[in-house]
Amino acid sequence: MTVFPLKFTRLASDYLFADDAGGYFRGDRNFLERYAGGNLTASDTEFLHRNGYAFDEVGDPAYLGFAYRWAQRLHRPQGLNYVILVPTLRCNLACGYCQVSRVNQNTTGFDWTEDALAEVLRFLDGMDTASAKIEFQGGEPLLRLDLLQTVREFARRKFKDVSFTVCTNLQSVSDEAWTFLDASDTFVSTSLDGDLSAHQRQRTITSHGTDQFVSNLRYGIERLGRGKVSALPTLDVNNLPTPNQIIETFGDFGFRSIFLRPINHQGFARKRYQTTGMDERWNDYHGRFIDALIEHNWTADFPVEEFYFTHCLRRVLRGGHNHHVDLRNPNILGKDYIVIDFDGTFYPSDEARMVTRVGQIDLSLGSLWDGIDQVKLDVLNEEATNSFHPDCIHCPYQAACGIDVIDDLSRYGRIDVPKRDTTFCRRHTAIFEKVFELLYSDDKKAHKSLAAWAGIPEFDSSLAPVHR
Amino acid sequence: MERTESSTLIQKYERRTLIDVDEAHRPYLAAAVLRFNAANAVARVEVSKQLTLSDDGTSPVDTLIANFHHCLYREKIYSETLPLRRALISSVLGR
Amino acid sequence: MIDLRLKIDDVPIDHPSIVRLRTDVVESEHDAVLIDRDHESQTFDLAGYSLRVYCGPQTDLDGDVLLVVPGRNSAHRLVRAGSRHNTFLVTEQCDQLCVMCSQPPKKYHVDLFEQFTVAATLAPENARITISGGEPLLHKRRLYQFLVAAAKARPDISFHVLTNGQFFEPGDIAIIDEIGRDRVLWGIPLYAPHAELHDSIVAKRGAFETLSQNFVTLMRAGAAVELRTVVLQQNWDVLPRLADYTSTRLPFIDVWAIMQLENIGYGRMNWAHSFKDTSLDFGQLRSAINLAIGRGIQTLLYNFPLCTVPSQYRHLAPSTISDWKNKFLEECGECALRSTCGGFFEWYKADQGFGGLSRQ
Repeated sequence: MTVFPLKFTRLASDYLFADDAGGYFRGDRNFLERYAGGNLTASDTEFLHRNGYAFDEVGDPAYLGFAYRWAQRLHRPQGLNYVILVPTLRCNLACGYCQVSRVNQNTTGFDWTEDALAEVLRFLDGMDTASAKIEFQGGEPLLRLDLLQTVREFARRKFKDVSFTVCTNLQSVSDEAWTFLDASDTFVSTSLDGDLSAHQRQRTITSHGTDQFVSNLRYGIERLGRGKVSALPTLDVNNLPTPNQIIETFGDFGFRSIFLRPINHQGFARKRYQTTGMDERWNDYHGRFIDALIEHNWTADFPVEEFYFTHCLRRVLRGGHNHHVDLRNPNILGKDYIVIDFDGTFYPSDEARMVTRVGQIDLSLGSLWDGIDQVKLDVLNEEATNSFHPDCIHCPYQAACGIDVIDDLSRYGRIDVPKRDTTFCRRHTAIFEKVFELLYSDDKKAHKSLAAWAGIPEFDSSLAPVHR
Repeated sequence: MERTESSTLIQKYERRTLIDVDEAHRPYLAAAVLRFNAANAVARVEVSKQLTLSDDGTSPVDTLIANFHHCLYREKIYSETLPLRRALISSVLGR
Repeated sequence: MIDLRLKIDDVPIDHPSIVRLRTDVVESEHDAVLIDRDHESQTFDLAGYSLRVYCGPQTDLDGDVLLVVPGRNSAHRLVRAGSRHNTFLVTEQCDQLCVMCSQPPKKYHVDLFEQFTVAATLAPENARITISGGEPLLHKRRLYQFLVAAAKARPDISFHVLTNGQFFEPGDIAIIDEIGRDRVLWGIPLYAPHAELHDSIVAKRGAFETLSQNFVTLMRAGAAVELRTVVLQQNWDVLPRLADYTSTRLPFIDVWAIMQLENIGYGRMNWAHSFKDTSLDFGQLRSAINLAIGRGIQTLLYNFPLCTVPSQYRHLAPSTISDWKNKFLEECGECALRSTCGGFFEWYKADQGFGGLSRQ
């Protein structure tokens, strides 16, 4: 019998073992020594074989089941089907952390030209997919409702199945814009920075501005329906609302999914905020937020989730869960999604666009007129996997984790920093540690939340296998 | 390097820990030492019949020893299972 | 209960024939158009001769495809145009004797694949046709010919083939590709995670081993598989282990259908020592379901009346009993869940059945 390679790390007083296909179990130090020393007992081999961590012969059901699950952990990008469009850089807000090198509402020269719009439509027309997702960002996209309307009309004719998301600050929404947003294929994504006082401090500045936002958000939810509106909090690590303040604020609007994001200090933001010691502070806060959710969910009518934690939890439990573009392995850039800026430049991600605007490094990938810079894309994609990375290959979270070359480049200017010294790795290590801490706890409250977040009727101890 | 600098180093990293490395793990020692150094603040690793780790004494000794063994285990597992990983990739990619 | 056979007057044919009944439009050489109607029958004209079908005046036969056999005064309704449940019984032979078999095998076989091919081409748009038996792959070559021909002639229809999976071979991969991997859902039973128990349930030594090999073939083929497990007293305790086995060895399946027992055929004979009353004890099912879904296997409950399923699991129990063989009980009355519940099998016997039924 051959055991598939096991990675390990400490878990409470024991160890967590995991394989490349994402299978995992808890075992003790003695098992680690037996495994490393090649002295497995009959009980060890029986456990390992029965639970899919080992095989007898190459090509037998256990071997092929593992091969399939390993393959399922890999992200195979489809053709281009997700496009982020930035029709204007102009914005009617001036949020403290805004990294998009925003420009004031009345500045000229920061919108798509007529020619650019024509090229965008031509680009969409060239996409070879029946089903697409188009996201409008900015600046403030609603400042160019006309461009949104033109693109949407075209896309509805071109694609069999298409959805639109408008990322708007909801500060000022005209009647015509509300009508635009009424459509069943169109969704709204906005910012709600934790609680209203943080939101005001970071975004709206005046209480009038905050009231305007709140009123539009409430109206939007009522008019469009809760399923069509989502809100994301961007938080200042140096000035965090308490978890419960956020849960309550979001609950007030009926939101049950909260995607916590720390201010990512690029460009303008970097000039204003402190960045040292942030990883630890953020990770600690995130862990406490999860604890607060577990407590909340124990008695609440509806369970609330932290979006990214749920995403990581599901990635631990199963393969093929790849729909968040920042957490995939391999993370091939420029293949299934792309960003088109106000000036027609292509970028592999929104973060890449911001990093480039700051002037740190040029991650543009060509333009509507010049086409995709495939040579540059190939260089970026050379290291787009964690599967063979000398650090990741030993990590038990590797199968659930991903890789973000853009994030590494933007923070360190290079991609060969030892993983544990990178924010990406530290952040995900903290999340996965929390996931396993909860999976292996005896806490009924934790189990209730885990079941809701995992999308299963009830928690079962078989989701936390133990070998004794 | 100046002699004064090297003696300063020796003064700072005063704790010496002796670790036994059995024959089965010897082939992976070089790789393990490399990884261990990268992850731990250790001044020097001397390899002879036993292994000597010199460090500044801040972390508990048994954790230090366990961490070193873990590096060894990881290198051994990696090296021994590499052919299996290669075979798996070939079979999944249909080669 | 809907009768799948219709009484007819004798017709002058010399071999089994396919006829599609139409109310007004004739589109194919196999169409027979309605020419007369009375209180007890409808008469159709097929190329000169009359086909008189006995049924109520309300019965809508437009688009139905019948199999008419010489010398018999009843025709099989192969395809009911208004129904989601259309099954072609392609053979009654089988190599297994499953303890819960609802269609006990017979020794003889009549090859009607030609007729079935015609019938498939006459089915309504986007029809989903179930291919059943006995064991359909006992006549694999003919079955594959049928599937290839029907799939080509009608790019819109799809098939659900119920098979014990004993007769696949690596060479079938090319044919599965030719038919179209997404055109056929293979419904294959697995009753236990190890040979001894599975083999004893299907009464065939070596069945599990053979099936395991063939799952490998189906995985390599990229075939769409619906794994089917009937819940029995015999396998009740191993259901969680089966969930584990499925998620590690069979991660490629499209769906795992966990099914309640049907009180017909061998199922009726073996009822007392096989039926597991899941309305009183859902325990092992909880574990199996949560493990499978947790690990990413789509899991559903087939043929479970909704009140026998704990409320948090009801969304996993779609209405699955074919319309022609289902019923509700008197005590169901005005149950709030009636419209989404699949009800009971026509032959369900309350005195032997669920002890925990309750109107919601």
